[in-house]
Amino acid sequence: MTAGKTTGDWFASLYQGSYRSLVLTAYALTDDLGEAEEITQEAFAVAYGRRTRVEHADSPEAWIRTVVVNIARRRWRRRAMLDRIMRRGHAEPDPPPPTAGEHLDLHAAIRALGRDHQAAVVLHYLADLPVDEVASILEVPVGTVKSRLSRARAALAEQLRAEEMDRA
Amino acid sequence: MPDLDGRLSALRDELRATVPVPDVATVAERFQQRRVRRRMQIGAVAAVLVVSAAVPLLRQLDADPPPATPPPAPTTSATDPENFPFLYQMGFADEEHGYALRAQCAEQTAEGETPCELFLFGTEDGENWARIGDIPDRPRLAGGLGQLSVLGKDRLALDWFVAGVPNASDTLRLYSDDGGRTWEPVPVPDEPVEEVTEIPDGGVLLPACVGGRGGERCTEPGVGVLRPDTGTSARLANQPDLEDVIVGEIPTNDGYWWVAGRRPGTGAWALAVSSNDGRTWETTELDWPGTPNEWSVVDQRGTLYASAARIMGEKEDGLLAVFRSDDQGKTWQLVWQPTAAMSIPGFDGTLVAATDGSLTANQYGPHHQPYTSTDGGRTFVESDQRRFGVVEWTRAGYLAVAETTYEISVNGAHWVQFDIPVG
Repeated sequence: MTAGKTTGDWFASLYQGSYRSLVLTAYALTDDLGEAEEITQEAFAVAYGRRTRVEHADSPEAWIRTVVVNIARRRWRRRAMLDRIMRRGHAEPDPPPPTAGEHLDLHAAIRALGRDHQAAVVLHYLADLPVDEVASILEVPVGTVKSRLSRARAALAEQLRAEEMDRA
Repeated sequence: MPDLDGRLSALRDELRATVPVPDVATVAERFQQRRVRRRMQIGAVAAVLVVSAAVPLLRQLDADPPPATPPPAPTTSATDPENFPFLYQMGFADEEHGYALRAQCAEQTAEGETPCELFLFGTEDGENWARIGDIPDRPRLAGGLGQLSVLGKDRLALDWFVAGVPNASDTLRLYSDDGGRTWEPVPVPDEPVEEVTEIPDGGVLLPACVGGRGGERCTEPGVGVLRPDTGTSARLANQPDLEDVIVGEIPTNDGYWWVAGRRPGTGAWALAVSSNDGRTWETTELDWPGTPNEWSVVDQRGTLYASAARIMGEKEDGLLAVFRSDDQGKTWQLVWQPTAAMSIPGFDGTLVAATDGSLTANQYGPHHQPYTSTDGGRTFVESDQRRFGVVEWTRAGYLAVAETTYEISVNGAHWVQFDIPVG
């Protein structure tokens, strides 16, 4: 007495292989790792309900990433609208999640970047996405992404150099 | 210059390591929760049907029906899978002929409306589905996505409930007798003016106001019949002597019609069963004080099982009781109730009575574990018969619908999955 089909190994493999990367993608858009995890879980639930379509997509991971981005964007827009209604200024970012001490300063430096540069850095360097995909997610030209990454790297290098000198 | 690339790579690895990966089984659980949540949202707000760019399909009563036109392409956006048209409702005339509705809804507007498009699909072999067309527009006051009734191989009705409109019926109905290709509005007066002595072949049993209204409220709620030949509602001549009725829309596997309700005067819960298409009813009072808001009756091999449940109440109680009848509904035994040690709080839909004698109660939401009884409903143990969606009884067997796919079982034991295309 079994169902005609199950989700199969492919869905579990997709989940295990892409979950963390997708969380970091959402993190780039939400600035909150907990919310990024929640968005990613929601996106996989959406994909589960459409798994036949996802299985036959050119890139199942890209399919789910699109859902992640859409959910994150939707939430960001609602929050921005609420902020405007409540006349709230941009809140100070929460402290970064606990990581090993040697990377905490880099993480903090990334979070201190402007939102646009932070998103580009997280998507490209932490979520490992190519520049053209970062451009698609952020809805900006590839040249803009490259420019933001370049400026972000310069700012991070300067920040880290200054901190090293302070410690010295 | 510090090794920025190296440190970025190390930070990436560290962040990934800090992200816990929940068990993949939680994905299915979340999907079920999401589906229940979404149906509540869509059913509770006023929905507006967006007229797609197509020739209107409403048939004028005195005019020839318009020529068939190919349905427009679905408005699904490949870049927005979040609004993928999901399977909303299905119904069958028999094992081969069925219909399905997909709904594609945009985000809720500032006015609190959720614009939705409805697409109709049909099958003539029980396996392969084709898109028939869109559902025509209907007035903005109607709420929800509509209730589909399949009345025959080519006969369908769609009902919307309209509340609070002065001097107007509470129900808006569209009816089709050509398999959903064209539709016409059918009047549904608050009190049916027609009467039938039996439920016709393909007919659907519905709650109806049969005895007058006191202001906005029906003073004598009873049962009516949705007629397949006209799409109109008729009063059933011989009413079961019950109040607060919850009706079984279609008969059980063995052909029994059923109505649950309260006895006038005592208020005790009772079950009414008809083996002759509603001509007469065998009504039995249950000695049970529960407070269900859902009932369901299924049968197998001559035994009737009734489930009483409380769904989406203030307190999620799930399955409240199982009753069993071995004499066509003349007498009922209470065979199961929850205890402190054993409950089935996530139950919804119907029990599944299989040809092997087993009885399964499926759960949804955070309680996903199904339970099966092999002793006539007296005791239940955990089983692995998890279904994609809430199980309901149809004229094609047991049905469980997910967002893009469904499972069906004619015997409650063996399930087969089918997909319905988007367009």
